[in-house]
Amino acid sequence: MSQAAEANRPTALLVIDVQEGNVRPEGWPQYWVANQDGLLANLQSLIVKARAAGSEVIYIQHAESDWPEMAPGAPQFEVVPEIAPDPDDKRFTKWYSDSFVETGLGEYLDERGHKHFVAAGVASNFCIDSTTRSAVFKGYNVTLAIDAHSTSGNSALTAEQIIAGENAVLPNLAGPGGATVSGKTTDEIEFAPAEGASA
Amino acid sequence: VPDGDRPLPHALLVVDVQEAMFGPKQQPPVYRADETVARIKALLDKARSAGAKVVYIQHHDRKDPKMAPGQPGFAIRAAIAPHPGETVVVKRICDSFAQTNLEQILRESGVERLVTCGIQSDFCVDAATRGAMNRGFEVILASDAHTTWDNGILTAAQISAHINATLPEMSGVGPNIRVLPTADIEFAPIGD
Repeated sequence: MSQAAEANRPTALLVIDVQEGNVRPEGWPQYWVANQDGLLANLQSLIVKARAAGSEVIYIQHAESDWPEMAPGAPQFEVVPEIAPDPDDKRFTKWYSDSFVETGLGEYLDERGHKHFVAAGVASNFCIDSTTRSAVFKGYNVTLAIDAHSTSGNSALTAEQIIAGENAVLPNLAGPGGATVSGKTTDEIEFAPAEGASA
Repeated sequence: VPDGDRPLPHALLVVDVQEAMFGPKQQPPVYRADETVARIKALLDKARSAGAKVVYIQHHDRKDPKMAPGQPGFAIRAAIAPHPGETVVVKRICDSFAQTNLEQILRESGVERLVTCGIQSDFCVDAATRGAMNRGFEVILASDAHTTWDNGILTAAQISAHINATLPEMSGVGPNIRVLPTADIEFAPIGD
């Protein structure tokens, strides 16, 4: 592989909001995200690939100020055990849809030299969409894992329509410095080592 | 707070309603083009007569020669052209707040609450609406005054309906986004 090809690869995986209360909220089956088995299997694959390449796995967890079940420490706030973080993984708690708002995520990515990351998790039309847009408009390159994000349906569209719609829209976005969003399947995504990684 | 008792918006943001969006040569016009422009005209009339601030956003697309300053396609749609003295902000990135002085203009004008409308629902209108919310503004999306094109997966009507359903559920720095039809939107003068 050429150095140029490696330079274009992501050096981090952002696992966004894959928490009990988002994936399969207790008592709210209508909000369970679609295709849970496929979603979690693909997230597992991405995590394994990222770690094997020496890329950094970063977890984002969503907290709700007016929803005690989704407060930090509550059971529904936890990342689902199928893809639980390793003890040393960096974790951010956010209170808003956009993972960059009031979290320090941008500063952390910059400190670690991450210019390109993979976005995966839930929910496609909220935190995946908001985080991807925010990142590319700030100049980060984003690879959207098109088969590793999910949501539930709303009054306008089914979950499958929303997911396909995000996969059609987000890769058209562009940002400063030539930043782009590319949509790839889990199988297509290849990672590169983070700066300072030994892999 | 019941919607009728909420403080009224101080500004109208008209996003990317430029001649190139209306065809005819290289693309079909946006979905429901004339109806959308008519509603934006109604919003402009209400905003101006109330003394609210009107801000136009104009997209300069480096990859699309039709969307460069000086080209006919770059011009704001004639039917809703800015009045003399109104603010026009040119952007090069989908997000109206990215690398522009839009936030500064709004703050210096005393705008805390604003209405978004324009083209395209799923790109620059969505981005402006999310972007304003995350800068602490209280935002109303005019549900029937934004439009787009079919994208091969979803129809324009589905996309716009989806945006209207999704944005109020988002959380951000400002209050939750409200989605109201043009007929239900009224403005307040700047400073009110």
